[in-house]
Parts: sequence; structure tokens; C-alpha cells
Amino acid sequence: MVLPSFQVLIPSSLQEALDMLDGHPDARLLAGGTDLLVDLRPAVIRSAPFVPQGYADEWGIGYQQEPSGPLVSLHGLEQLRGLRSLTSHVRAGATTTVAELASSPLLRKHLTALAEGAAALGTPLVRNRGTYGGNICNARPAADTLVPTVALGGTLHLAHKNSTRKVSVVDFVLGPGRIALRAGELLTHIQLPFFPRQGSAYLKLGTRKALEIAQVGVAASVVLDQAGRVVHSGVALGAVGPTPILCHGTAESLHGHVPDQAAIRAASLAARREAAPISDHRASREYRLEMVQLLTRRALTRAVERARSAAAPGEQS
Amino acid sequence: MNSYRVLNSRVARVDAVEKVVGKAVYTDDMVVSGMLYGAILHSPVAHARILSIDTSLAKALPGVKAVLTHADTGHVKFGVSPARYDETIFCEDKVRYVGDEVAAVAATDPGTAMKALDLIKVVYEPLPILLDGLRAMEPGAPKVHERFHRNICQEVHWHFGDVDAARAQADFVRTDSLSSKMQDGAFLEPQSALAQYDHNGYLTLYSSTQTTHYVHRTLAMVLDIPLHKVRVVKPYVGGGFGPKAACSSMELITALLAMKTGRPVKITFDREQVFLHSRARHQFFHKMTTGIRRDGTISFLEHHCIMDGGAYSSFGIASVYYAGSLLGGPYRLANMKYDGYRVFTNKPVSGAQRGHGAVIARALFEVQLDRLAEEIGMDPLELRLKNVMETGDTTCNELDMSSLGMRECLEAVRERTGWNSRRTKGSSHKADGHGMGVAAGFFVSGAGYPIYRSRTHHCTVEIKVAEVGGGVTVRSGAAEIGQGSDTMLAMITAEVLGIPMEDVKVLSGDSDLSVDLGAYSSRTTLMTGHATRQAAMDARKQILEVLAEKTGIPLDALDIRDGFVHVQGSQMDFASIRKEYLGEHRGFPTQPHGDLLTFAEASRLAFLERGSIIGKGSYRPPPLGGSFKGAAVGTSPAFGCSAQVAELNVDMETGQIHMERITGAHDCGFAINRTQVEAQMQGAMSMGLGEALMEEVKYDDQGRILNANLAEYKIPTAMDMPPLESIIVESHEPNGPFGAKEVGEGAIMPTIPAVLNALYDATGAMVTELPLTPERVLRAIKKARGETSRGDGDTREQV
Repeated sequence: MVLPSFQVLIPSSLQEALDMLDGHPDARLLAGGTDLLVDLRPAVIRSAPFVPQGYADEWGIGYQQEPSGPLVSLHGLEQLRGLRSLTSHVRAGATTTVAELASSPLLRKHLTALAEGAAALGTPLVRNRGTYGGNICNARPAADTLVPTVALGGTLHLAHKNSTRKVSVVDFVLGPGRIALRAGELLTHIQLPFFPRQGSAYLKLGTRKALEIAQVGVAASVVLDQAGRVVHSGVALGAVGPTPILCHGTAESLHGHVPDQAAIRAASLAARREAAPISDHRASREYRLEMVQLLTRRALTRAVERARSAAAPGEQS
Repeated sequence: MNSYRVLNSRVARVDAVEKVVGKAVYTDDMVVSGMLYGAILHSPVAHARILSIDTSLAKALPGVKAVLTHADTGHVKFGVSPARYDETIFCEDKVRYVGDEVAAVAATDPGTAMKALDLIKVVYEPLPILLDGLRAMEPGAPKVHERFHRNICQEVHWHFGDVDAARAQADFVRTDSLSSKMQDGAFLEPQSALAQYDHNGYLTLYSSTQTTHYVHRTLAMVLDIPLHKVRVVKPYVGGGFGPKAACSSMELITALLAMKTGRPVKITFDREQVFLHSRARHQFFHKMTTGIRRDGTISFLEHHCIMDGGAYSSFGIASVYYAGSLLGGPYRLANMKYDGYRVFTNKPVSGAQRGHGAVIARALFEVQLDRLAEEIGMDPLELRLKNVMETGDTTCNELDMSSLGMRECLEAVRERTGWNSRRTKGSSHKADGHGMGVAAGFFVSGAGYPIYRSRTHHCTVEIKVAEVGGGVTVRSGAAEIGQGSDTMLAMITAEVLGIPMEDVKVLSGDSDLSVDLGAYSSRTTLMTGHATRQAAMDARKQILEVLAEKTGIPLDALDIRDGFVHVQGSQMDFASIRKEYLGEHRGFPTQPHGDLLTFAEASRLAFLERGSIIGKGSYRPPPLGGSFKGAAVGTSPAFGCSAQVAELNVDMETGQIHMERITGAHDCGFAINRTQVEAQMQGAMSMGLGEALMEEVKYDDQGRILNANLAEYKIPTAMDMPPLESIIVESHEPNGPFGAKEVGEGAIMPTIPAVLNALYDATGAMVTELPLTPERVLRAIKKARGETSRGDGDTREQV
């Protein structure tokens, strides 16, 4: 593999990184590099710029994009790394590796869906390098940590040279590869709330058991009250729309109910209605719709089981 | 057990340490002083006329040393079979697939070479594209090659026995179909070549190839260089599986760039180029009608096959024969009809891949046997046992089973899996998601004939005894591509000469060393093994002759074992020999001692008396096969065979298959190295599982590959592999060295049908299209249950 030459800027502090981004509006952020470096490879099938007029569109011939701006490496920035537990939420630094998410006892306990999503991503090599923030900012509709983050109600903290802001992950991801990051901004960390009597799960359907892009991914989170009724839930669907889909209908359908089989079935059907899959080379629309319903049922069942077992002893379960 | 000291053991591979510590040199590791980097301009379109090519801007780019198009070539056509030479180094009149080679550059660095490609102006006139192999023969289909009517590269029409008469006698007849998808070889090492051309007109090409011999011939032919001035060297190779078994445009381009620039040139494929060049397994569309008698006797097989070969012939002319001929066994089948068509499309070129043309045909036939067994209420493994051929049988298409442990393989997997007690009896499958399936298969152990018509020896081997004494060097053209042939050469040499393995040095994979047709058709152990055995016996005889002359002991009383000369019945007085040897080695800290003459002393003596001692060996199969057209394809001096049982679990709601275990038994005749035989079996099962479950090259509607990478072209990961059991069956092949025959390809034959049969056992579902993606499996499960597929609006919940 021959990579074209490119410039890498290596800031030693967050402020320096933000200054660099401010000075290079065309800069791209380098975290784990597991997507970026692959994308930098020159295409083998070179563009055909001299195809006669009119054919280029018809034949869908693309034009080679040469990398332009520098890469700003986030490797040295310790404040972007690691997981911290605060009273009611987890703070996950943007360059926390996917492997760290997958093996975190904190996430396994409170935010299981995210740990399961991380464990399902790529291979050990990819998980060791790839980062949580990178997986979110790549904004693929099937991204294995993004889908649970949507279900778990993640909030993204963005920094700019002179300011910071927060945005919900749902509002941040606009389309495949498109995010609401403004010029000069970078994602510093992700905040994920957790609750007592909460359970969550992530299920991924693919053809093989590792190094797989989900044909359908479903993350479900359920929070129960002391009576065992759903007070809050989140179901997010991956690979069945241009972005992960947060199912509002599912949440409404579950709200206030004891999540028994019938309630879960109704919620799964609601999820199917919210999915908007296409047919592509990975799976057909019809299969994906059916699997959304099935995986939602399974993920919710598992999340409810976990929520009940997370309930304090003596509480109704 | 046997009396071998080296053979049949589990000795470590001779290249194990080098590879494990990363010191083994592969072609792309090589950097030569003054070397340029080549790059290839591939066609971005699937079918178009080339109106013009302008290289002037590319040539003007600083650092660019050569820019070549078809105008710079001798326009000589090449391919695999001389009967189907249809490729040129560069496209001349038109491009025939996305990836076809249009031009190439050599530059001082890879980046400049890539930039230069963007400066080559090619004007194309689009032509209608043909992507569907099933449409290729239809009237009005776009024509890929002018000279091939109806886009047919090769058709085969065979009729052995009398199918119509047998049909009238059959009690049950059924027709089934199975189609597959184009594969990728997915070997670890992308193709790479480095060429050097000297002032005396000698060309040396280092290449990641399976067949130095055919690359050698093709380079000489296409570049019009005398054969003796071409040398092809194969460094370590990271797998081939068939796609590296023929000379490629890339190898020719690399050589031509070196000739034009006078500097060494290297080209290494990107993974995407591996997919574009392809030459891997064809896409097959099989339809078979098989008849059976009530007692389980197979009556006849009527077989129709269309193979999508892509844009050029490659191995396809042979593949279409293999797809038919290798159903002649391993069951007694007196009546077989076969109509096969290998067609052109505007896609990358398919060729030979492990199991060659026979894998999907085998899969469908084995599925049919299971369904027929069910119809007559017979256990499918029992049905196979009832029909298996035995050693000495000949197939209806005249293939001789000089050894065949098919029955032993089936019995071995039956016993190991507890088949009789564990598999559901009768026709009412449980449909509980758990299933077991069996299948068998056989394969050639070396093609009976070379690819071009010739009386050539298929391989020669020289064993040169070190003139200083103590060791030997094996000189062979055999291609070690990861399958372990260097280790096989060393083991046979050590066994025959009676010396330790570490005193055998193997030089191989170099066309200057010897002729060897290469690593394809599972030929190396049988053929090069024969030649090595012969060469080692020759060297041994020469050494012992000298010793007999000098000591007066009869030749047949002398033997070499473990590096020492042993004398039968009497003592040998070798004081003068030792004295001379010690005299030659004054000052050496290690000296021979003890009351046995060492191999070092004996071999040194032989040199002193006779000069260089070189043992010679060669192998050429006897004339094989019938007299019908195409009878040569499928012939072999021997046939390996195997049986496997697959066990799996199916998620009945998603269609996902979880493999639980594969138990395989393979008859390799005699295991030269037991660990390597098992490794080949396991590799074959892994590749077979990939083809069964997930492998598929996908195209868009313009003929562009959608998944030309190993992230989206899925082969099994470690997580996907179930426990594998490998049982070695040894039938002692009379035509093989020490009784050995193949394991490299035959072991893949049963995997796909064993999985398909297990899937049916588990679910009642018949899938007619590979690979078995969850979606296809779920659709088939529903069909088996009589459910129709649910549309978007249908939202019934399934319990």
C-alpha cells in the first residue's frame, strides 16, 4: 500500500490542537487512524478524466481526491483519554480506545450496550487502535459504538479555540459520514447518563463473527421504577437508515408499562415501523426490517432482564 | 508402524523459524540498487473501445523513466492453454473488464508512478456491458471477444454409458440446481514481481508465483527472448491456491519495463488489484438430474453447467472439463452425461482455485445423494458406502483408482462422530436448528499432462553432495508456496540418504535449478517427491559405490543411517579413510570419532575419488486417459479422496449458521509429514467453509467490484472456525513415492456439501444459491415451512 505524502501536526495540548485547527480549516483529525489511513490510499482504478463529455456521469466515474489539509494527531492529548465515573454519568474521552470500552467493568456494569457494541467492533487489532470519538465522528449508520451511544442518550462535548458546546449524539450525526462538527471544532468527550435499575444490550447481525459490518444492529436500554415499570427507554437501530435511528415510537410504547413479553412485542413492532432500510449488497430491505423487529425484541428482553437484576435486593423485579 | 526415520513424522517445517521470526524474504521485501517502481493503469470501465492513448504528459513528469502501452509491445498473445491464447500485455483494441491493463509506468518512487498514471489520457468509446454469465450465450448479448461465438470460451459434451436407458431403470429421479459466486483466492501475499535485465540480454524475474516454469515460458514467448536467457525465481510465497498458477500481465509488464529502462523494476499489487486480476474460482450454475435404484444403487447423472469466466480464458478451458470429469468418482457411476459451457463476461477473469472446476459440482451432487437417500429411506452415509469405488476400479470416464481409501474415510468419520447414534434417522428431520451432514469427494494427485503439449519431464531434481562432505543440497524447481514442499523435499532426501534433516539444504523455486511444472493440480508431493527419491537414491549409490571400491565390502552390505555408515554382517576397516579425512582437517575443533564412519567422511571420499557427486531424478507420468475429446483433463497418476461430517446450529429466526465441528478424513496414500497433512486438511476446511458461508465477490451494475478488500470480502476469522478433526487415511498409492498422494486440494471437496446437508438436516431448508448468508438461509427455512416471505407491510409477529 502506497500512501500519498501528507503533513501531520502533533499538538502537545488541547489548546494547541484547537489553535492548529483554527489555523487549518481543511485539517483532518487523526485518532486511531483505522478509517482515515485506509481512506487516504490512492484508488487503484484511477479516474478517467478524459472520458468523452457526458459519459463521466452516466458511468459514475469519480474523480480522484488528493489529500489536501494536514492531519492533526490527537495521540499525545491525555485529557482526551480514558473513562471516568461520576455520580450519575460516565465521561468517556474521545480518544478512549474501543478496546478500553469493551473491557471496562464500569461500562459492563452500567452501560452494557456500549461495552457490547465496542466488543463487536472490528478485530482486536482495530479495537486496540480505533477510538470511541473516531467511531462516532465517522458517522457510519452501522457503527458499533455509535448505535449504543444513541440508545443510551449520549451527549457530545465539542471544543473550539474560544468556546465549548454540547450537542446530543442524535443531533450530531447528520448522515453517512456527515456530522455537525464546525470548522475548528473537535470532540473532546462523550457523556453518558446511567440510572439505578437500568439494563441495556447491543445485538449485531452479520455473516461472520468478527471484522464485520452490521447488516442490522440494535441497542436497547431500559430504566425501571421500583414497581418494575419502564420510566425511560432508548432503542437505537443501526444500518437501517442513513444514520442510527432513535426509535421514539418504541419509547412511547414502553413508557409506564411493565415490560412483559406483550409489551416488548409491541415495542419491537414500533421499531420496525421506524426503520428505513435500503437494499444493498449486504442485505435486502425486507430482511433488515424483519431483523429489526426480531433483534429489538431480543435486545429489549435482554435489557429488561439486566435492569431487573440490577434492581436492589428486596425491590420488586 | 513403519521403519522410516524421518517420513511419516511430525518434524518441523524447514522454513518455520525464518517465517515465524519474520526473516523469510518475499518478493516485495526485495530492494535492489537502482530499482524503479512500476504502476499499472487499469481500465475504469467494463467494456469500451480504446480510441486513443496519449502518454506525453506522463512521460514528461520528472522521475518517470518509462511509460508503456500496447504500442511498445510485440503484440504476442498469451494465456494458459495455447489453444486459448487471448490476452495481450496491454489492451489493444478494447478493454474487457474494470481492471484490464491499459498502460504502465516506471518511476523513481511509487508516488511519482501513481501521479504519472493520472497524466495518461485514454479516450474510450463505451460498449454494451455483459455482466450476467447466464445471459452470455443469448442472441444479442454483447460480444466480449470477436472470435468467440455466443461468448463461449469452451463447451464440453460428454456421454458415458447410456443415461436414457438408466433413467428408465431408475426408481427415483430428481433434479436440483446450485449456483455459486465468484471467489477470491484471499491469499496473504499480494502478487509482486521484480525484474532485472542485463547487458547480455538475460532476464531475471523474481515473482510471487506458483509456477516458475509457465512464467518462464510465457516471458520468453511474449517478450521474444531465447528461453535459456530467462530465469524466474520464486522467493517465499504467501499462498497461492491457484490464482498464481499462470503468468500474468503484471509479470510481463514488470519485465518489459526493466528491459525498456535497463533498470530493475518492481511492481507489487495492492489488495484491490488482487481482486481485479483474480483468476480465482469461477461462478458456477449447475443443474443435475440423478437417478437411483430402490436399493441405493446410483443409476445415472445428467449434468448441465454454465461457468462465468470473466473477460479472458485463463484456466477456464480446463475448468469446464474438470467440472464434469471429477464426478466420475468416487462412486460407481456407469452412466454420466455432461454439458458444460464456460462463457465470457465483462468481469475480472476466473481461473483455477483449490479444487479447480470441481468444487461446486461436487457440492450439488453430494446434496442430491442426500436427498435421494432420504427418498428411499436410507442413511446418507450408508448410501455412499454402498456405492463407493474401491482400489482398482475405473470410472466411466476412464480414470484409474490405483488406490482409493474412500470407504475407510467414510467409516472413519462415521465412527469419530458417532454418526449412527447421533444423526436423526429417516426422512422426518427435526428442524430444531441442529444438524449433521456428510459428504465425500476425490481429486487428482497431479495433472496427467502439462498445460502445453509436450513429452517434457514434469520435474527434475538434482541432489548435489557437498564437495567438502557432510551434507547435500537439493536443487529443484518446485514451488514452496506455504504448502510445505521444501520440507517434503528435505524429508525424502534425508530418509533416502540416511542423514539428519539439518544436513539437507533445499534450493527450490528457480527455473535455473531444474524443470518443475509448479504448485498446481496437487502434484508436487507425488511428482517432485518421486524425482527427489530417485535423485537421493542415485547420490547414495554413488557414495556407497566409492566406499565399496575402497573397502572391498559389497555394495549391498553398506547402508547409511542417522549420518553414519553401517555395515551388514561384517566390520569395515576405514582407518585409512579416517586418517586422510583428519589430515585434511587439522585444526578443526570438531573431528569425526567413534567406530562408525561418518557420512561426512564417506561423502568427502566420494568427491576425492570421483569429483562432484550429483544424484539425478526426474518424473513423468505414464500415458493416461481415454481417447475421447478432453479425456486428458482429470487424468492423474493417483487420486486422493476424503469424507467430512459437518455439525452446525442454525438460528431459526435470523438464519445465522453457527458451525459446531467438522470431522474430516482424507486418504493421502501415505503421510510424508503428518502435521502438514492435517494442516492442509484444516486449511481446506477453512476455505470450504468460507465458500459455503460467506465468500462472494460483489459487483455493481457497471462491473465494478464493491468489496475488493478483505474487510468486505469475508473469509472466516478465527472466531468463525469450529473445532476441526483431521483423520489421516493411508491407502499406500502404488504410483506415489513411498505410497504418497495428494491432500492439498481434495480435502476441500466435501466441506460445502457437508454444510449444505447439515443445514438441511437442521432446518429442512434447501438453499440453491451460495454463499449461505443469513438472509438466504432464513428465506429457505421459510420456504421449507411453506411460509411466503413477508413484505414490508406485513408485520405479523412470529412466535
